[in-house]
Amino acid sequence: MIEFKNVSKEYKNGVRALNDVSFRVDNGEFVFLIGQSGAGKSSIIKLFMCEERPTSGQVFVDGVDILGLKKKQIPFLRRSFGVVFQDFRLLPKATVFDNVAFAMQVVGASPREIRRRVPEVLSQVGLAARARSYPHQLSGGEQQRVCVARAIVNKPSVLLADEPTGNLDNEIAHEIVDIFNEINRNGTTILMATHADWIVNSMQKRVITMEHGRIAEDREGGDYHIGNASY
Amino acid sequence: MGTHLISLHIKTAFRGVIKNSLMALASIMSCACCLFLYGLFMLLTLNVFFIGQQVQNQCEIQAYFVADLSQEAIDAACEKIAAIDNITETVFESKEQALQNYKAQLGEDASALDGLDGENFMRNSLKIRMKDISAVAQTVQLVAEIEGVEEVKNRQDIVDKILSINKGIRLISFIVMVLLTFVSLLIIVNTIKLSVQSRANEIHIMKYVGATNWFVRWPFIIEGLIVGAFGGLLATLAVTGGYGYLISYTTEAMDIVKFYSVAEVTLPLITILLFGIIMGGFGSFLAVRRHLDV
Repeated sequence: MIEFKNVSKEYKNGVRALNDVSFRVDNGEFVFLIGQSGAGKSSIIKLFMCEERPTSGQVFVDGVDILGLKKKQIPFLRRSFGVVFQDFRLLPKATVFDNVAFAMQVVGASPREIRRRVPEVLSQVGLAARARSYPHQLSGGEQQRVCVARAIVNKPSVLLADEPTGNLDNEIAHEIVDIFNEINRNGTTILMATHADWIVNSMQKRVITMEHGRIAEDREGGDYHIGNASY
Repeated sequence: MGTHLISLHIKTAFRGVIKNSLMALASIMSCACCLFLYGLFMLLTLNVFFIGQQVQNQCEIQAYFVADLSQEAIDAACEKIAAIDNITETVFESKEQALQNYKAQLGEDASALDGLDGENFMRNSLKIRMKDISAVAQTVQLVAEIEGVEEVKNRQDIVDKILSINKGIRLISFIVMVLLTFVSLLIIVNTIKLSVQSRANEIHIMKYVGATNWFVRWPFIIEGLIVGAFGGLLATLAVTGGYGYLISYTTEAMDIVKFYSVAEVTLPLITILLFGIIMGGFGSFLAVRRHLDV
């Protein structure tokens, strides 16, 4: 379970990204976080990752107020999340296998466990044949699938995705969302920030709509049109 | 840290060097150049100190014995003088020898001494060399107090000059050495910083997937140690070769002063290598630090 309680975030440059935001995502839920650019979606992801700290309010992960964590404990919090970014953020000089293996090395997995688990996850995202390729040899969709594999390899309870389809064409984006759906069916909570309204409309899941740093709407399903950013 | 984690960090570090070979090569060359200059100056300083010591050792005082003192008494006085703590070497010069030496010094003008009718106006003396010429005044005092010694001649002015020149050279060498150490450190650390900077994104990704700071640091520190070791090794080889050539050349050209042989400066040469390794590791540690706050 992840939760925001009356969270506000004002950046040093004076921009107020979040204004008294409260919501809760229960275990196993698939929730979309939608809104135009600058609505505060990425700030929510950053606050969960402890990349930023809120100006006020509380952020809970499995009942623990993460603001009380010391700097040293942040890496361990991050291990409970899998994260997928719009810009992939893969290690450019490591192979697909090593990119995914790295996330396991970080948590202290044994080489044997890594050799067993990585191929398993790569086939789950349909990349078993590309294990020895480097990121620059892959298409955008393939790179994002590596990113998804890296995010789920340690079986996190929550997957955070920040505009994961932002750099992909519709067909590939659909493939990625299908993978997310399957991961969710296996019990992983998913919080996905996006402004691809066609994805949101096709999935009919819970949707939190952000506007100017506030929650404008929070409901199951519906038909959405996110300004001129819609695909 | 478990053994598989240690081997993982070492493997990652070597892979990092290979995958970023161009940047690593630039860092190695820059380290090597810096350490070469550092090593060269270190040997120069050591030799300047060494030569200063040699010049000091050449400096002597001379004790003159009372005229008509028996040989036994002279011998006894010589023994007592030789036993003084600061004295390293004594050479007795009889008055006959002294006259001969004087005549030899005068050369053609030695005939001027013919008018003395064979009378020897020189005195028996003992030439004395000291360990520490800064304690010359006390040593002269001790020698002068020994029975049979009439007078002790001491070129205090020359001693003072040598001491002050040596002191000046040491001070300048020390300052330059400190500056050079600092500059080398700065250049090496900055070169490695540049190389780490180009991989800042990599560090951020590591942090996002939950790597602890030390998990990120270790491979970079080991990479720094590798770069420093290669740079240090290149510099050590270049300094050893260059110094060896210089020594063989100068030894042939002049034999007034002696330089340390290559074997005698093994330890300082190893210091160059160690300095490279330490600076490489330290540079990486500093360079990574600023990217960890993600």
